[in-house]
Amino acid sequence: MPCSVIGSVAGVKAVNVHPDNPQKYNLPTVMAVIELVDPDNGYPIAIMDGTSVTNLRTGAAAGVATKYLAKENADSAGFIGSGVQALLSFLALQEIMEINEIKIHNRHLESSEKMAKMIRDTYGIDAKAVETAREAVTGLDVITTTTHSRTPVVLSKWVDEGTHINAMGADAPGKQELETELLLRSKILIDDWEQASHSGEINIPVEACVIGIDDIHSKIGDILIGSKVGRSNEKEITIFDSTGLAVQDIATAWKVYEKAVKLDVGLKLDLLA
Amino acid sequence: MVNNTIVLNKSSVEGLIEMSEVIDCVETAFAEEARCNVDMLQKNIYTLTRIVKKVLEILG
Repeated sequence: MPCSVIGSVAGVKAVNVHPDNPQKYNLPTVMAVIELVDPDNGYPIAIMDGTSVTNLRTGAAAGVATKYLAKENADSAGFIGSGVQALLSFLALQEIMEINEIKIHNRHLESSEKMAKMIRDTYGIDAKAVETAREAVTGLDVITTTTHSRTPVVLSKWVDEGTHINAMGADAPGKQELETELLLRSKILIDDWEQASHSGEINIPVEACVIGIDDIHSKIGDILIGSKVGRSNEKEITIFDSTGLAVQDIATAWKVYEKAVKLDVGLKLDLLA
Repeated sequence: MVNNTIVLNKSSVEGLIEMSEVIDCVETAFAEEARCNVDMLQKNIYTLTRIVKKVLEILG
């Protein structure tokens, strides 16, 4: 995933997905390496673990979307899925809203209980593991889904007016976490049409011609720069379909690089020696 | 001119950056992309894949 921001940063992320890795090799399913290059001359100024950058920037995207799309007084959150991505999304939400109530659902209850306990013990927030997905959706202001589901795990009838949803899990054709009916009654925002329609939350309804580009309100970036309006009232349901852009990786990795230089951290190599 | 490549492992990366900083980076990234200041080959590949798929459909 190569990327450059004109006149400032440039780099490439090499990423792969091996679903059997945890069982077969005790390795992560997704692994990535990022190389940053000097935009002027192409010199490789940094090579770093990209898996952690990917996880961090994905969680942060949920935070950014929530900041711009959730109701002003939002103070409760639901999580469907309780893995690393859910945890990092929580950390991002916690940076941008005051959370008083959290409900977490995972098909493996012990996993959601572990996340709830960590949140209670570390942040003092009322966090509960719940047995059904519905309990982690209904009555909550911000919902974040981080599953790899190929059948919807959030039904339209469970979602209250005014809810904001971060749909983070769908990352390949055939994956979908939210019922199509829910997408149709909501304001949908994406990070990029090409990626979202190919492998994001909307990929299945797009393939079925149920949702088209005209059903998409805008890119999240358009809200940030003020060219489009985000939430327009307290009743509408907003959905952010996150697929993850290379520019998120490279921008985050660049910040890591700058801090590494400043703090003199990392192994230094002269690759041309 | 820089003549060193810095190599950072997972724990170094995670120790160097805080979530609030990552949020700032991601906000900047989304905004720059919306301003058309970003070049991402990844998007072109999806477009190309779609075009090839359509051509193959037409050709049967």
